[in-house]
Amino acid sequence: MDAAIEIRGVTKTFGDKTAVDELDLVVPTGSLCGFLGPNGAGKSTTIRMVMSIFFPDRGSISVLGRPSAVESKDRIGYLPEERGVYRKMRVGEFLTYMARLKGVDAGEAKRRAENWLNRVDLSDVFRKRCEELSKGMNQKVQVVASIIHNPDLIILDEPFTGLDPVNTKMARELIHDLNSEGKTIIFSTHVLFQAEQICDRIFMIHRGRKVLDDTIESIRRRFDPRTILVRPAENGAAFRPQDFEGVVRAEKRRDEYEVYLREDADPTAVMRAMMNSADLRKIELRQPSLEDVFVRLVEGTRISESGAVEVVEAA
Amino acid sequence: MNSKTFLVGLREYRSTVMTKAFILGAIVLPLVIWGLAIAIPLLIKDEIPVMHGKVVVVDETGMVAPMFISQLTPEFLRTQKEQLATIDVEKYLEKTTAALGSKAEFARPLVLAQGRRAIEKMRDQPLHELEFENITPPSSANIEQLKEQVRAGEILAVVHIKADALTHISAWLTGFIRSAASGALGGAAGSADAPAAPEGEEKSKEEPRAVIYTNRTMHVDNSGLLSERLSGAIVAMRMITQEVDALKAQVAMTPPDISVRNVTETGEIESNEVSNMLVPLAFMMLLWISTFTGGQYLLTTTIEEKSSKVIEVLLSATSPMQLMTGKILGQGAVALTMLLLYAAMGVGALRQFDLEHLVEPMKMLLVAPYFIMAFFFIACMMASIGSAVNEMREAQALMGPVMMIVMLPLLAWMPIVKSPNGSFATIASFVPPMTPFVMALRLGTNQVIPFWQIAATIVIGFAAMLVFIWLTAKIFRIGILMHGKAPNFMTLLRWVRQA
Repeated sequence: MDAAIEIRGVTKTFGDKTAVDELDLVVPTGSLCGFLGPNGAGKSTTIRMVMSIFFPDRGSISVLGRPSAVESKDRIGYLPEERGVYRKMRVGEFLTYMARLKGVDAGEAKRRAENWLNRVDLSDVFRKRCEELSKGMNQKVQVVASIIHNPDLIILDEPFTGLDPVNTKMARELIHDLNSEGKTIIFSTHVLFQAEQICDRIFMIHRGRKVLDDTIESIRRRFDPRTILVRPAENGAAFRPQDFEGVVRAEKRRDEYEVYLREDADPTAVMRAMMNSADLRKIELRQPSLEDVFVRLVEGTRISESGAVEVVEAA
Repeated sequence: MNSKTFLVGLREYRSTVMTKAFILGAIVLPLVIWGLAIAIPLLIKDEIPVMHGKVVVVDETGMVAPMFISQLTPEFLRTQKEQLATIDVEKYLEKTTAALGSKAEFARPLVLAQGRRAIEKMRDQPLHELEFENITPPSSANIEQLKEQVRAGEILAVVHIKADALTHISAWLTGFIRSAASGALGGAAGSADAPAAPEGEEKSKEEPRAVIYTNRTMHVDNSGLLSERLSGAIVAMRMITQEVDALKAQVAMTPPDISVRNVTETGEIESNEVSNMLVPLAFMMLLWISTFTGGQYLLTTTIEEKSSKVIEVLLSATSPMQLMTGKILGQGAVALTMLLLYAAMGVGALRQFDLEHLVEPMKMLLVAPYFIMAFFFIACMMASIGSAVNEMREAQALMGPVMMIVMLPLLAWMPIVKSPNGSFATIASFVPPMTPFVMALRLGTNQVIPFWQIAATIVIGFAAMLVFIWLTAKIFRIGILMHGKAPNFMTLLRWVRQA
């Protein structure tokens, strides 16, 4: 079994609105995937279909080798985007309840709840009511609730919202740890640099259609940068980047220039020429951030008549 | 049952029942009210104050006073109480009623019962310390002055017996005797001029034959005792003066025990007007209150889960169907808890008042399928509405029309109970959301509901229940994840088609 999730030709409509349109997606076992897309792209709908909360109008979904998540829910950890706790319930009780719902027996569930709370620095909240917790603490309890039953596949919908930088880091490390234990993890986010930092594979959907499905390295290669960042030394007032061969235009941002190259220009040659002509504090070939890719894909996507998605690269 | 469904149900039950609000509202409060209803009369009964003081008797007949006084002297009251404490009541009564003779055998049970009650009352009687003054000759008494003394509290009471107390026959009784005589004789003798009963002369307008003046501090039971003994003394003296055998008169006056019986296939059933009305109402209210309490909690918890957004977290572990079923079954257990609790209280109350025979155990059992039906109807409606709305306020708007249908049997209970096999009751039994409530009313009456109707309503009710569950599953699945605009019935219908 090499695919944790396999989505084939799935379409889901709500009334006259098409939320997911002919989607194909394969999540390899053991991968750590980011699931990206602007608001309303169909991320949550897709995830809910994977979780058998919604059912597709057309197409098939197999999860952990089964035709429906219903049969493998105990092996899936799911943190929904719309999440909450029973306000009056005690934290320990809530975690034990969630673990038991996912097939862990009572004694083991309690033990795991205690262990996990210790692991996320919440060792003193076991007997507190959920409503007494801060939003960030609640988020951590939610994350624990979704993985307490030691699932093979973990689906996290916007896991970092509401976490401060310290806890974001902790969550990121947790995701890495779980992935290195061999678990397949897929998480959705609209905060792209997080995906960039963590994932080894990215899916991007827009208006219910897949616009990107690749590994991070390959994305970086494909979206070859045509931008150089240059910061001249203090005496470099005479530095005029737009005069170099192959440069289309340059924009000054504070003390740095953003230099855009022609399609056929060799970035290395331009950089060498710049270094030879002036004193520079910094010169770098800008890595394409996911954000750039994202904006380019979203703004440049149009659907051709054949139904295939074409990516029109904005020059 | 699926273990996830069971866990959801268990949590639902515990989080509902193990709250202060539930224990106070649904258990403690009714228990306290029930307890007070029984305890308060018992407590009050023991509080008859002892009378100390003087009673002035003005007896214009000159015959009643000695007997009256002799019945109330401290010595008499004490001896009476002592005797009653030591004698075997049953044996005593047996001996007195033996004098009735075989001809009066029919009256024995009632005379016994009356005797028992009278003795019971006398045993509880406090030992009053009364002294009497019988004013002779009565014409020398100044009633107005005596009344003034009563008002001032110098004497306890003035008993004024009018001169004709022994001979006067009240106007309506005279009239009654006359018309009875003319009716009986009129046919034979053809007498046309039999005097009619004096019209317009009513009992209340007549002057009383005796008056007891007391002031407001006297306890009702004590003034009751005085008037009871006075009346007894007057009646006894009448019998003596007119040479009537007291025992024979008593036997003749004993009201016969008349029973109204319904003749049915299974034999005769005692018919009692009050129980005919109240038992069915109690049956339905029991069903109504228990199922609605469960339904109401279901609505609240569903809205709570939705607004706290815990719902999708739960769906990570269960399917919407498991979640819904678990919640419904959990609240079903809550409703059942209430039903058993209240039914036990009801049966306890019936026992207390010796009315157990009003409820047949078979009928209690027959209510079971209707309880299941009633609960599922209400639970389904509540689950649909609860899953669809965002807050309680929106739920009220959707519940209005639904409640109207289910309220109907509650509003129309009178006509249904009065003719449980009438066309309205019969037709209403076959309209699903009303079926269980109407049937509970009909089964509560003492009339026999045709067996085919019981069977048919159960079949139709359960079929409708399955349709309700199917619809609810569809609405629930979509509704629980919907936020935003308050839905209306059209939205719910669209969801049913969509899901």
